[in-house]
Amino acid sequence: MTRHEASPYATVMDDSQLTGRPIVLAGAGPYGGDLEIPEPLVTGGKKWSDVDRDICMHAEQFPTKKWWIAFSVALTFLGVLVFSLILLFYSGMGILGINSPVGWGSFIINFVFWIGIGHAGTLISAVLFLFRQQWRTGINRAAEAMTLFAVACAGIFPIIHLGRAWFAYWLVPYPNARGPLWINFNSPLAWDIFAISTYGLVSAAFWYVGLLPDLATVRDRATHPWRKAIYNAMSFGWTGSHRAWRHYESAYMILAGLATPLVFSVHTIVSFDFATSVMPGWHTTIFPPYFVIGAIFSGFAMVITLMTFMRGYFGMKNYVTLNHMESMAKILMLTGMLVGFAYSTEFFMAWYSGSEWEGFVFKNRAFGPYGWAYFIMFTCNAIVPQIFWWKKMRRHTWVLFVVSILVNVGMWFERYVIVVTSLHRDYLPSSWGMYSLTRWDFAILFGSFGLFFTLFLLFVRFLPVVAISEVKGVMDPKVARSAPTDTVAAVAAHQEA
Amino acid sequence: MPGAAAGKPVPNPSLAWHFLRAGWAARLALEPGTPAFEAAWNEVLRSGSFQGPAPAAPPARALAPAALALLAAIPAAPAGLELQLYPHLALHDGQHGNNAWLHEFPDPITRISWGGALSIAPRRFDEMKLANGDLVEVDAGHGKLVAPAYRHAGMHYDQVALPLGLGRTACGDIGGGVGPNAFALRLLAGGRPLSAGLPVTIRKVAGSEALAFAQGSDVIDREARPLVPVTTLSAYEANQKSGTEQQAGGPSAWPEHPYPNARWAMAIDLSKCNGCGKCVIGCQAENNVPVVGRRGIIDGREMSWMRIDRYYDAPKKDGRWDADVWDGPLPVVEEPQVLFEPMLCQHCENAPCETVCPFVATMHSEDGLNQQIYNRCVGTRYCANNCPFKVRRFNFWEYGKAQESALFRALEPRIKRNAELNTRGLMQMKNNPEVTVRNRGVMEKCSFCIQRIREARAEATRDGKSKVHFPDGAVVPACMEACPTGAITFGDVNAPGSKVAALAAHPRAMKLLEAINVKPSISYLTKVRNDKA
Amino acid sequence: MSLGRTPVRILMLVLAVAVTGSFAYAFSNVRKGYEPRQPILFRHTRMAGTPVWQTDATGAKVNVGGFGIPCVYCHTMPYKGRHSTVPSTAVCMNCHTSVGLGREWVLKMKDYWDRGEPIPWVKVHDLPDFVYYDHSAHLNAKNEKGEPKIPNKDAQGKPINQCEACHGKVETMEIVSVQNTFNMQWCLDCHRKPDMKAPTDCIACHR
Repeated sequence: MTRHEASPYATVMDDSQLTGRPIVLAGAGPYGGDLEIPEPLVTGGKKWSDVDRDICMHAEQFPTKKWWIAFSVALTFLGVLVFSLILLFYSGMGILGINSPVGWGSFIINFVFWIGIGHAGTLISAVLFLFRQQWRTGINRAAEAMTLFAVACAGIFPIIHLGRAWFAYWLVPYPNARGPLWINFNSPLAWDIFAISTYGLVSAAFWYVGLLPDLATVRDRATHPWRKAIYNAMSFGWTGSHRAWRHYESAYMILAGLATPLVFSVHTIVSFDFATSVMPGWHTTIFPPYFVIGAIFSGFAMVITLMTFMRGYFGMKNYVTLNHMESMAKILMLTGMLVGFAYSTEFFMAWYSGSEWEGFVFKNRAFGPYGWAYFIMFTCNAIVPQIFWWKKMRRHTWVLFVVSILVNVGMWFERYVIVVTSLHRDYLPSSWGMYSLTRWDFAILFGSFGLFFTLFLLFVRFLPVVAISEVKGVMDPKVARSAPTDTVAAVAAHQEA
Repeated sequence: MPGAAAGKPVPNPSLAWHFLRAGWAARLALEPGTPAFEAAWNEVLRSGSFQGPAPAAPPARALAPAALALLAAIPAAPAGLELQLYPHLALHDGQHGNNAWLHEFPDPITRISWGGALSIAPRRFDEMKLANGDLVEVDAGHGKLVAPAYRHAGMHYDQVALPLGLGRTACGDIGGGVGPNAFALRLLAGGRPLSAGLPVTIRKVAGSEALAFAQGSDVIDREARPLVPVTTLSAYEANQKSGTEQQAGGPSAWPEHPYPNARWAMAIDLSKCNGCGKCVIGCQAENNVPVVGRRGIIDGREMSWMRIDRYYDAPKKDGRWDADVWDGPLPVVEEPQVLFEPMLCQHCENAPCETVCPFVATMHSEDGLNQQIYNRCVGTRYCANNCPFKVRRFNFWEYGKAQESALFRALEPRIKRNAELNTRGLMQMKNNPEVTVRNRGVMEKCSFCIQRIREARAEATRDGKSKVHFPDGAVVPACMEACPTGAITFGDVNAPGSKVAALAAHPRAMKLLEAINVKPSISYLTKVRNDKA
Repeated sequence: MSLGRTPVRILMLVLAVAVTGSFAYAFSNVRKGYEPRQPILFRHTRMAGTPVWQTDATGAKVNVGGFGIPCVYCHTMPYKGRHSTVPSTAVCMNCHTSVGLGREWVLKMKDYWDRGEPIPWVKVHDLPDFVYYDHSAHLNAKNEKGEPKIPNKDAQGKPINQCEACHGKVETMEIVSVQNTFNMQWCLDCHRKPDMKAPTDCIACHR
């Protein structure tokens, strides 16, 4: 008896009925043992046409009041960002908190923070695809969009942290009449531009290729000729033919293969910004894996935050089920424990190395003037996710939301601790100093969230937030293939939900 | 004047000419135009000198025994706290109060710039539960003054001190209102001003004023951080290399730089350096180093390429892990051993800054310099982060020209202050035309006075001399030129017999941070303290 | 539905234009050929050019070419310092107190002289401020054989001005114009010649 022929209870369940454990049918196995049927990934007895309607609905209707409120708040923060950047370009870096010795501050912290967040989306899209984790289909579109917007937010920081940002283009090795003068390939910042631009391009390509069939779905449902034409252009004239699907599948596979190493390489390169320096606390080989794990950790936290909104305000409970949230919580806990392990390793190595400089830096981190930041970091990253040992907590919406926020706060402070504590007290005691964020640092930090959420809200408004074609592929065809239930009443009922 | 014939006044001469002649007419008591005046005028012009009448012999001065009686009027030493007023090292009595360089110059011992503080003994300071900058009122009976407090190492428990020369109110944009005016506490007694031994009481008052310290931590544990070579005479006699011990570096992954011709290096003799700081001012004058003002120093944006670090030696006197931090423990600061270390770009061979600049704005030259190319620098500041000596200076603001926009000047008052300090009026005439004026967003640092090196090379080319090696004295950087004790030696270390080569090879020589293998070009010679006196 | 391929084609076109444009910009040059009009129409051909003797209608020998004044008579500093220096009006007056009186441009020059005002020459060879060029180091530089690195003799052995190597034959120019590209690539083309043994450190020119 195949999985699909099993008990109908497995296929028509509501989100609140999910337990997170497979359904056990005693004695139904092929050799007489127990048969375990995994719970459905799409609940509520959805048909394939329901999927189209549920997901495209948000792009077809005028946005709700909630969306407008959220959008105006995000747009306000974006405005703050734009104004702060104009002031920055005209007045100089002096408006920020950076100084000598702390030459890097909130901008680099934000840069690493945002790039890190992006990695979860790529992991969900690419790595989980290659591992054939079907549950990724409910979240991969939104997660990949999150990646793209996080990379966009991150990408502004390497430009604006430059003292003379109008010359940033010199970092691209274009042919010139200065010798020609190239870039310094020894420098991790030069590697960064290749890494970040590759990551941005591949993520964009991967996300967009995946979007093509779904954009075609929106096009097919569209009635207004302009809407049809625009979505047709956006979907590159997707025909839905067998050839198109074949090419799509192989392109998807190739891009997933390209994106997978990026999950590990991009943040490794970003970690090299610190690891290749001579500063104690930075000069350590644990940084590449530590950063990558931390990136996945913070990224998953952001995905959980966004999915909580999706489930709550977008009626996506049937597509992003509690089982999805639980899986993400498990990954969060795993990566959180790895991050905690990395902290302990760092401390151990600081002592075991016998290096006076290294030992001082770590004692200063925990007990010096920035010990408060270290405390926040450690608590939020290593201790708070331990709550997910309890299944009930993994499946509790509020706990998930609060923990995900705290994890992101903790990860921001981790970068704060890394950047600031190693710089503010290094080799020569005479050059020691302190660092604090100025109002413009805060403005640009919160403004970047404004940019992120503006982009995400626009995505939610105009594009399908769940991978329609992929989700259809993981639904039980016996249930999903039935006649459409697209009656007016049903539509109205769904809008209430 | 063009077309002038000798002896005849010219039609329509300049005002200056008239002024000069009028001055001489007054001095000679003759009328311009008369033959006597014209003859005398032409004689002065021809010979270039003027022989006046011989002065009369000075009158004899008799000894005035009455003056000796005044000595008895010196007040007795007070029982309690006494105040010492001392002239500020740079500003003296304040006559050059509008000179930004003198204000920006940090006091060699307190390391306070743009202001002054009441120096209080560490034990009294701790007993009064003060923090640096807390306001304290000094009551001298005849006057009161509120000044920020400073925990001054080595100060006697019964003494407090204030610098004179600050607190001027009417000396211009730059120096107005900087620091406390200690003249208010000076006592006029017996017809003379008294600046020392004044009995005072002090009490803490509300409020505090941030002090612009140009240094981070004051204390150094030389066993943990062997950064200052110090030894005693007996140790030196036993072992000449005493004081230079540090952890050795490992092998380097980088190939060595070949220096086929000249290679510039410097040696700083810490036994000769007395921490006066003239090198700092010399460098500032030569290299168009901007002034950042009090706010800039407090924000940590100091721009001086050279600094004199003043450490209190703390060899594990206190076992705390953070014994190196700001508030030096009492056993260290009550009887401090003061160490001065001039710190400037070390022009490391394996410079950590060179590898990390993505724009190739800083790299090694064929003659051993770590070059900083301002026009290529885009300001990532990775080089400054990676410098273990923290000698790189970033232009956080535009110091070279005034910001035009009124809106941004209103939003950021520091922009206006930078213009007041650096670009107002004819201030730009002080700039050295041979040195770039850096705009904002650009990193700068000591260049070993590259402009002087280039000029020496051009001169060698002009004179047909060899550029393979340079003799001592061919290039004298501004710091070496300014140093009154000759502590700084600079030259071509590859030239056979050069002074700097001899000093670099001396057993007293130490290059810093060998543990991380940066290989500086500057050798510090041990400070040998005489313990046999 | 080929409508969807259009945006991709437009994108390709934009990319091609951008790449071509950046190459073109990178190799473009704004200095060569710059020929600014000066406030006084000083003719180097007449002052510095070679004399050309002709017999005029009355049988007298007349020089219709130049006076052959050497460059360094007016531009005194190139062998001694960094700058090549445009001469002060006093140098012009060395001769023009007695010759050329009444000529249009001489009168204009004397007007500046009488007013004590410097002639507002337009700088022809203007390099950016961050380029610290040293004329004396270039003009005095000699190789191991003692010959000047910038040649002062042409292929036939006839003496030429060293100034020609970069500034061209100024003595043939009615109005001075820039003869070479004067960008960093052009400087390096000479500096990188192995026999020149010239510095290629950045700091040699960009202090």
